[in-house]
Amino acid sequence: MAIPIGYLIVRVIQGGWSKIAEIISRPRTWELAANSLVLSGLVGITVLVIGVVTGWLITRTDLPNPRVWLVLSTLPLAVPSYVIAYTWLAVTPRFTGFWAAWLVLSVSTLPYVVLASTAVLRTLDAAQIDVARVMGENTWGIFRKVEWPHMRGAAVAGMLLAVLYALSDFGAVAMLRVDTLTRAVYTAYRASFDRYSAAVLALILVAIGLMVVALEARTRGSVIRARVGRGVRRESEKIALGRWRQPALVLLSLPVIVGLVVPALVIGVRVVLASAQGIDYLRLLQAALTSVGLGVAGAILALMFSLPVGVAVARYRSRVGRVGEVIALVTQGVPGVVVGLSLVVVGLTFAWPLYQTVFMLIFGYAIVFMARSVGVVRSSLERVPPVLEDTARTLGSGPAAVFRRVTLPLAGPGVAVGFLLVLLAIMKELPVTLFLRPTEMRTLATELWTKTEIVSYSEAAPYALALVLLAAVPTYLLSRPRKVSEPVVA
Amino acid sequence: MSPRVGLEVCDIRAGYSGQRQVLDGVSLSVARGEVGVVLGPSGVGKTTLLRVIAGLHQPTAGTVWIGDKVVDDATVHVPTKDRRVGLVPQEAALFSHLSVGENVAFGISGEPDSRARAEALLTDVGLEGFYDRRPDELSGGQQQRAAIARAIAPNPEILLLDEPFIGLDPEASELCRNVLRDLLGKHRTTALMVTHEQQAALALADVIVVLRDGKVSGWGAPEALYEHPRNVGTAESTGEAVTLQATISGAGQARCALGEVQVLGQTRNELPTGTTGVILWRPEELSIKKTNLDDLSAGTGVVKDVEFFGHDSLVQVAPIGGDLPVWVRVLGRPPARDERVKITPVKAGRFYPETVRL
Repeated sequence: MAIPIGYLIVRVIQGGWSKIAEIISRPRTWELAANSLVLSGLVGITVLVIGVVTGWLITRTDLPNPRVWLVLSTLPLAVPSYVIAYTWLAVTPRFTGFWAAWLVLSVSTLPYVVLASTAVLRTLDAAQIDVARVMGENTWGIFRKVEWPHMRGAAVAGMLLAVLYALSDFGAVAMLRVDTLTRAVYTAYRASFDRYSAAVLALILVAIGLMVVALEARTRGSVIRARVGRGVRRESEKIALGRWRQPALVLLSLPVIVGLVVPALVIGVRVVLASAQGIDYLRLLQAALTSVGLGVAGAILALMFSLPVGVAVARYRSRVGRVGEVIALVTQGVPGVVVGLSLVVVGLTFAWPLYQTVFMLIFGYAIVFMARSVGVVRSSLERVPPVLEDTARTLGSGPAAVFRRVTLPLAGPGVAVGFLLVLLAIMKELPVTLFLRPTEMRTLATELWTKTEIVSYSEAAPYALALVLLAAVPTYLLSRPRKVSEPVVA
Repeated sequence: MSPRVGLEVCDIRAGYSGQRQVLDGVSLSVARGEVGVVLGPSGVGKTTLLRVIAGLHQPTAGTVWIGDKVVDDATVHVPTKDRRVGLVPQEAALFSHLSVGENVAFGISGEPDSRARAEALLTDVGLEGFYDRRPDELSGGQQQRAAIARAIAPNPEILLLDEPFIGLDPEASELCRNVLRDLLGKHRTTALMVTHEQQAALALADVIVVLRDGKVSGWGAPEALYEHPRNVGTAESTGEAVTLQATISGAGQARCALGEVQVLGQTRNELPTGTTGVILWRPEELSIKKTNLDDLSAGTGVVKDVEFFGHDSLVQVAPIGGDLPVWVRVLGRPPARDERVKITPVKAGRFYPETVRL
């Protein structure tokens, strides 16, 4: 990661400060940065408010079928934002511009906050709510004084992930023709082969991304434990919604309609239309296999990169751990479009034989998704209390045996889930693929992109369907109740 | 090293990077087959001491012998797996991905009769038929007994127990204690337990070591430590203690809120008159009887509180003329609140000059 980004910085500086100043002072640059910032900021505020309310409604009220609503509210995770954008474009080609992008990105990233909020509220001890109620607090008072302080850290962290996603998103904003930094980086390179301007814009994007990452890192430290003590945890009593039930159901339905129902209907109708015209199944199968193959290879490489970093962060509260943490955070703040561009620049300059090869592409995936992979390794290892490893050591096991017999069985399922998460993300990935793929290589994402660009919405539909179905498998596995054994303490 | 010694720790110093020294020259010894208990409040370094002995934390100085083998000194650091120690961590920490029986068999898994031995051990700890159960199906006490069986299965040279009864209800705690005592006796295993629970310590220990601020403040057999604590801190760590400010008033005599009282032990003839300090009794070494309201002699006071336990009671008396309230253990029917009583020592008190207040 450091090499391509570092090289990008060197190349920009080599161009001269006056040239940098000239690009930065262009009104167009400011317009792009403002668009990116306002769009991602608005998406963040939207998903924070709606996500917290959705999480609260699902866990704390007598809403019918809360599990179904939770699944429905998290399913848009499986639908790439550019697929949602494509389906709405297929409904009406006038669905473009800033507010269209705001809607699509908000719906796509809402699950981050919903999942974070429900996870906290589910573990919140009913006793704390009872105490507040006994002290005379009403529903709003309980939310403000008990529930929100517990949720705040997780919800804000989820919101910042959404902001980062919106800031890095390329596919949806490009399809909806919103001039953000990501789209500008791509067009500057593709349309005019102006690598220098692209690099300066990319670095502005990285700077903004890193600021968001720093904020996210700060909020992560403020997450409050939902429960302190050893007694049996009780489920809290559900709040009767009464006359608020209908408005609540409408609120929950809207994102589902925008992000799930309309895309499903459009894809269905368009697939039928495409069948009538004749679908090139061989091409579809090749693209699907390529997507899965790249996903598996990229996820393996990302895991290989992230294992030592994740172990350092989870197990060593020392300089090694802090360095690992910084590496993971920095990679999180660098959008795919920047990684793609920087690897193109490095590839063209130093590694010509690797330029536009599968190896370079997989390497790019591994870099982009390393942060996510590190997070998974870290959280999986943190679920294994060191006392279990210590106990195994006293029972005669050496470090390798402890890892094999204790750490791996307990952390392995979590790492496997993380592997699937990265696999899912790679299959949906667009900008790195567009920058680095070999010329003849077609993935589901690139096929969908190409056909949408030429307004062949029906031809694009089978690829969108395949992408959603393939991505739904890991999403389903992720949303299942965890069978992973929790460490047992008396 | 005497062949009778099961564990010896000599002048151990240990800490964590960037923090103060947690263990500051700790020494202790437990005879082979006996139970040593390290007693002390939270944060004094008890768990660190166990981790040092287990080889999970390297000391900065000192020597550790397990049996006749040096496992830690300036040049040697035997890895944990080769120390032959068993560890019962706080809150059991059973491996959740294994069954209860597989947990017990963890340390003997390569041996041909491991299942039979694990089943036999489960029977010994009162968990017969639990081999295939999941750990989360067990109560806290059952998990703790399974953890004891797991630790003892590989026949360790020494068993280390870190607050093994913490958080258990009294019944489960007593059952665990009995199981542990039987198992240690049967296997003739040396054990070192760290705890802050006086009852558990007094009930199980052959030798008690009192740890305060990373240093040993007292050690000995439980009875000796209870009867003749070296200082007030040790007395308070090993049971209830009544302490009053006092001044030596003559040979074997001191003056305190209870009047002229007798002083025990080596201090009786050595301390010069006028030496100030603290006099200490166990609550059962004081007696109280009702007295008249006009009795203003030394040792009289008003009953402020009564804690009734059935077989006896602890009575809190506020002496007339100030000084801190005194707790007295009373067998039989206790006096009522606000009654005027007179406290009389039935044994000589232990006097500690102010210089040995630790």
